[in-house]
Amino acid sequence: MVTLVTSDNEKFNAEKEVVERSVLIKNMLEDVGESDQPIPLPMFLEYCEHHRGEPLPAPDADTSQDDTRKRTTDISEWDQKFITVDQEMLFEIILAANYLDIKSLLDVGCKTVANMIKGKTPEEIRKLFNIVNDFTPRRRCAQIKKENEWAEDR
Amino acid sequence: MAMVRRSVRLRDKVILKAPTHDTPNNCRKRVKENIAGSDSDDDNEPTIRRARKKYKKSHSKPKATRTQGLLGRLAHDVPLEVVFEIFYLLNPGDLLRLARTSRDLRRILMNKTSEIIWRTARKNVKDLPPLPHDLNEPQYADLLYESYCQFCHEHKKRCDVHWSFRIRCCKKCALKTFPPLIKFLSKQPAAYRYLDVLPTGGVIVSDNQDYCMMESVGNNEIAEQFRAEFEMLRTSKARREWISRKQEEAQVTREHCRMFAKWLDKRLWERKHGRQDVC
Repeated sequence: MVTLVTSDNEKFNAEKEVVERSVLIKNMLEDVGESDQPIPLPMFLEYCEHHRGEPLPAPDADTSQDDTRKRTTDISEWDQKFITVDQEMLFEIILAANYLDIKSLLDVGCKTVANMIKGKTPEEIRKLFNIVNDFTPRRRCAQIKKENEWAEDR
Repeated sequence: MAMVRRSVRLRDKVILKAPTHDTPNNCRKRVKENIAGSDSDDDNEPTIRRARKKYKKSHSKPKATRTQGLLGRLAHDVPLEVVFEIFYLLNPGDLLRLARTSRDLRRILMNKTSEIIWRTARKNVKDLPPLPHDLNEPQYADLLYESYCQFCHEHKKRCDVHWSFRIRCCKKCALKTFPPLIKFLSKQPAAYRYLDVLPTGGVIVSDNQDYCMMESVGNNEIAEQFRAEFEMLRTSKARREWISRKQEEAQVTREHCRMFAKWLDKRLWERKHGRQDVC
């Protein structure tokens, strides 16, 4: 068993197999070896508990290198339920998944944000993500005309 | 309906007005300035404050009061690759609309260095014909996903893409702009008038349940460019080579038009029959 401590000092006990879904923790455990010392961590056990035993992605499986495959935003039913959170929590989950190097959870977070963007108009996207429309009216007209040009490097 | 969970830790942070994020690296600073919504009141990061001051000074904008949005915060707190991973999951139309939300997102997405994002997004569209050699990624996305007429700039119910001309326009503008083919060809140089050098298209002149009547048309603007190129050449050898090259290009364009028409038919059929995996 491994003891995890959140930033507000709450302690959780979890099996090594569960917490090792995080590559970061796996590496930490390998580095320090068996120890009674608690590992400080934010909450992520629910996700890892559910996905325990599933194969972890290979360390060199960097998907951004592979641009030939079709990427889907399909999310499993359980993950969908898990990720049904407000934007603050979604931000926290992506932040933690990235820090803890839990690729599958990071994927779920990215897919959720992508699904939020899909099919929306610029105005809907602005409203959703609190983006300020800083195009001037003149720019908006010019924008359409120049839409097809790559922006110059600045 | 599923209950939406909320972050208690963040809610407490807002109450306490505590700094939200760790000190970012240089790359993250740049992106935070780039991606809109960087006007959080509880953000005390010095680089961002400088950027805000500069912005106020140069553009005389009123002080923003909105809190920073999810995309902006992600760009600030996670590596840029993670934000790109989100973009990779979209289709080119989504990227186009995202690029129209703010100047900063536009600067990121419409930059040549972001070409991989568009390329990856294009792969997400099932069976989409490849990028034509004479278009860039946003140009292709614009023709595919937009619906405004490129002549009158109005959003019309029906705007057809004339792929051979690389133009999307409404029927009214098409009839006004593109001359009938016979009349058009009669004005072209005899040297290549009938040699399949010039791109031609079709405009629907009458469309009802029983039949669809199309008129073959040409494009004067393209024809003028071709004529200028041709007349620049002084030797007959150079002109023959030019004709040969243009014929090959026209053949490639016609092939792409056929691929696109086939893809569009399939897409419409799948939509009609309720296939959900069509972008």
